[in-house]
Amino acid sequence: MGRLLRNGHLIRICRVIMGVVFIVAALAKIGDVAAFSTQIHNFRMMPVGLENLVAMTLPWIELLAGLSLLIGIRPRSGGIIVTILMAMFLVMVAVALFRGLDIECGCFGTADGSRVGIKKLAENLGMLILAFIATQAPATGTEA
Amino acid sequence: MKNEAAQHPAPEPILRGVVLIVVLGLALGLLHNWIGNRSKPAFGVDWISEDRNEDPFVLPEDDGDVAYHDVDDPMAIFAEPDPIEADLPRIPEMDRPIQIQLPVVKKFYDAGGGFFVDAREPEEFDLGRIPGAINLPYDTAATDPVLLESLDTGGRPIIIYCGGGDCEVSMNLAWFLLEAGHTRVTYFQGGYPAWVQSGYEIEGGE
Repeated sequence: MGRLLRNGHLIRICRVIMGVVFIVAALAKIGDVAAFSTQIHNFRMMPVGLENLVAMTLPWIELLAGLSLLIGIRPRSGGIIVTILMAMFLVMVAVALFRGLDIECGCFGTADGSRVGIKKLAENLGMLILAFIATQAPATGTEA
Repeated sequence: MKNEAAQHPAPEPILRGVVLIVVLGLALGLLHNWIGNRSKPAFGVDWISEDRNEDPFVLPEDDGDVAYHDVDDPMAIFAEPDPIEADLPRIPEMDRPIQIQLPVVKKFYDAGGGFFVDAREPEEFDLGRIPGAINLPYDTAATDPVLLESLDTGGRPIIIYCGGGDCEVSMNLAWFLLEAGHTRVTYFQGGYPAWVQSGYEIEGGE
């Protein structure tokens, strides 16, 4: 298992996938900050005063982390940020689901209308695993 | 030993990278928003979010004995009701969205006493809508405050509907309309699916 996690090809694929996902998601959110702020508000999980601040800065952090994974500049740093964010998103979706909120996920800003649900939870869990693999250092000789 | 070091770089550079990305992201986000608020047309949001009143006012189904009036005008309770709205449930002027249910919506529709707003996407609107409704997708409303301010409701209460469920899109649109200066903004929980299921008249979608 440890050897698989450090397979250079697998790590490279995970980095590209998560890089593209985060870049696309970030651009959609940057394109409509007000709508993203409302989507954050709908989760009812943070002080109201911080919602706009998070809405205007989080997508840029996502964009830079995504670029670092895709281009390969400090990819492990980008991978750690993506992993932390995916873990946060997973918890937020799980809590929203537990509280019975029927709301838009906001995962891709207004670019998709996907709602919070079991399917979204499973998607986030899958991406969290990919993000974790993307943080790994490839074993010597398996670098893609 | 050397290989080991190559495989596991010291945590400091990785941590430095994390801090760099976060700080750069924060700076770019703030800069982008600052530019946005000074552009024409402007985009972006206030840095500090305003407190949004969480709970919508739910209009009681039978409000025969309840008299709502403008709290800023005590004489309003003596005013003659609008002839069109005389037999309709009274929609008070409020600073928050008012949630109404299907029977109230139908009364307003039959009397022509409501300004119907469809918050769904244009494609859904084209496939079928409550007759007379205008299409104001949430995304458009979020980016065009001038359009919201210039909306002429003819003095009628605004009735927003969307694709059903909890209809948080309707409620969010209602908040935008309230911020744009409208005072009698309702949203119809149940939305278009509830309207169609009841067999009420629709237009479009041929």
